[in-house]
Amino acid sequence: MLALAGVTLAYGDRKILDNVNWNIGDGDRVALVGPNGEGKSTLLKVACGVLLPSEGEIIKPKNQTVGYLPQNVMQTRGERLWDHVLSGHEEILAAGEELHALEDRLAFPVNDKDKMARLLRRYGDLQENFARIGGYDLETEAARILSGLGFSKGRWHDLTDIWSGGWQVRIELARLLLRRPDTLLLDEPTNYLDLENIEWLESFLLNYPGAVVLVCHDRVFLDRVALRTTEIERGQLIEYRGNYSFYEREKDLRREQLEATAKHQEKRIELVERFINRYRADKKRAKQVQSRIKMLEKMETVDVPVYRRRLQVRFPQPPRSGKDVLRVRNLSKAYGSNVVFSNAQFTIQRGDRVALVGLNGAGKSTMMRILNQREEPTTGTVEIGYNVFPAYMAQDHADNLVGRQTILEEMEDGSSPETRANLRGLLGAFLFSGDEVLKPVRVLSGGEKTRLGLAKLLCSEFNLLLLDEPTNHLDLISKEVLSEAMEAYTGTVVFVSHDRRFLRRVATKVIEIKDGVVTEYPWPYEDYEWYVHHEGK
Amino acid sequence: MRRSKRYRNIAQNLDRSKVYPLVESIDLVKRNAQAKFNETVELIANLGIDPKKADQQVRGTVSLPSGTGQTVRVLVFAEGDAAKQAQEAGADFVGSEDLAKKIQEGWTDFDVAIATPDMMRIVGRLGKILGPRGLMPNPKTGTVTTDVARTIQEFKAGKIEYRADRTGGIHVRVGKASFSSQQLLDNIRVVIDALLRARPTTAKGQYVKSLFLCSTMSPSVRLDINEVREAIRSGV
Repeated sequence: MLALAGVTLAYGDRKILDNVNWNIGDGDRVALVGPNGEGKSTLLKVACGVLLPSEGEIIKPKNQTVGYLPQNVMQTRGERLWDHVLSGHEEILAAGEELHALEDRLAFPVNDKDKMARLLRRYGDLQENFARIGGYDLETEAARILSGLGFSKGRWHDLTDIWSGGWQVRIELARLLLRRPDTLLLDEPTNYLDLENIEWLESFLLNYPGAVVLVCHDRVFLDRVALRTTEIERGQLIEYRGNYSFYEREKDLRREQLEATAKHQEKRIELVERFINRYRADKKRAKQVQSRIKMLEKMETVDVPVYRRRLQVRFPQPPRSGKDVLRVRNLSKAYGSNVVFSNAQFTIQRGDRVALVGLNGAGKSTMMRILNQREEPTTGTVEIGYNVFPAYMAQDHADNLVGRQTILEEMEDGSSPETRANLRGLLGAFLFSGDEVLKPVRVLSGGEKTRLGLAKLLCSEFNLLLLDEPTNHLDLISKEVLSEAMEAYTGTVVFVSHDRRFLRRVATKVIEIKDGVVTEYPWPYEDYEWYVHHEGK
Repeated sequence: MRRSKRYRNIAQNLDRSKVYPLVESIDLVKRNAQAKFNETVELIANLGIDPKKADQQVRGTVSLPSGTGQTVRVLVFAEGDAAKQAQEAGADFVGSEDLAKKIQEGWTDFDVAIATPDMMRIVGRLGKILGPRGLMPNPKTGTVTTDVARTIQEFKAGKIEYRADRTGGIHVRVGKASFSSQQLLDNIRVVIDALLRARPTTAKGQYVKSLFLCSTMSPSVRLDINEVREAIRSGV
């Protein structure tokens, strides 16, 4: 059990959490939802003790453990993956060492019977304790988790340094899951996971004995895992007793009810006011008028919260390109002896919305960079069609933002003099309004950085969009808006995403990279999924 | 889960809400063991302990007077004289590094593993395979010993190990359906007696929360705890 009581956290005069109470019971599986930058990650940090609240307290029983997976993890260096994952279990490792030391001691004959009996008794106690704290299951469990999260067995003893950013998150996730804390706080655990691993994580969390709190923008995942939804809005928490779909329905319903109540109240106020105005001068009714005035003063008005502004993305009408946008012939890429893919052959035509799918590390981002001519292929060619203007958003675009600059300066950097006049309007559509455009880039949340990346993209003219994981860190509503915009876009799109709903909505064509082989499926994503499940087996 | 016709028939004639006296329940379980093999009879206890606490572990061995009705395959880690003794006492497998290697490759076709203390250096490495299967030799259950011959004979004669799982449940086999009622009763009495004696001093509240008797493929029968306790005390 974990509870927040009267917690307030403020940065300057902006209250991120305002006198918040929150209970997480044993076995609870909570989805924490809310727009980007509203304080979801902050709430998790407060709950696990990384951030101290300005007021209020965090209550948890003495032996309760809390595990937290941050959105961006620090890269661990100089350690083997296997050792690093196991290193979360100091207690078990220490008990194991003591046990082995005693085993070595027992290897030498002891003539004193009493001494032998004492040694054996001690060994029995240690062994029992080791079994009780899960020492014997540790390695089996570690192997299960590492396989589930997509680490192939041959690489378990590699150094952690060589894994890319997305894999670093997986390493920390594996370490955390193995520790099995009583309360698990996960901040966007699915961002860098492939579909297969997301499904594995789903089943792992469904059987997890402790409590789980999830910040996640994969709707299908949230629907399957969460039993309860907490929404964070303007520093307040609102509870919904159901999964994400339930939350959406219930939220609309509550709003409708609130609107009806407000309307009813308005009518009533009008009636009372009319009465007051009519009989104000009437001596006989003076008492009645006074009581009605008092009643109005005491009445609590029902406030209907204004609709939060939604992200507004509309990709501009693109200049018409030739019919063939990208022609890929005999394309191969290898880093030294490591062949990423070979002999890729496909054509992307005007108006196609192509999803590039495959496991992490399969070479999707490499392919994107080659298509955008940021990287040279080992063999083969990528021909860009007539009148094609590409625009590219890399997976790690956030790393290229200059932290010191403000949002506005960042935008000005990448834009032409003609578009500069419209920058504020454009930023407004991406929910950076008023003084917010003067925020330094380094304080932005993951989702805000993605929004900025998309806004920057729109500063140039293009008719081929190359987006590498554009949905990362975006909240659910923004994701919906982005998928709508992409559906409405008449240009050509090539994108990478692990979000099933997004893929189903947007993709008209799928290119799969698997074991170095590139296959083109000229169908929407749902048909591809069906094919993989039925024919592929 | 869909149950077989045989199981459903038996379950129909069983009052699941009723608690049964010990003798009656033994007869009932014997009658219900209708599968086409000699079913094992099992005693299940739900104990009021907190297995997460180090001082509330319930674990030990008990010798069943009527045996288990099974051939027990005993593996012994020993070298030199101890190995010779083990061979003579009827151990099924005796060895050291060679056996460890075989086990590491995935072989676990034995029911009990016994080791001499000096062998624990080798056996300790097998923890992740033997530990989860409950086969790890441990001095507390007498399976790490210098007197291997006697230990082998005891296990062959019907000594069994019991251990509370993570939820405080204990499953102990107490014989075969082909045993006579008296044989089963003798075994059950010894097991329950051992369980009661193994009560951790720190356990709070009711120690034995519930007791069940069942055979491999039949529904379980709930025992009347007070009656069982009386029966054991008076030595029926």
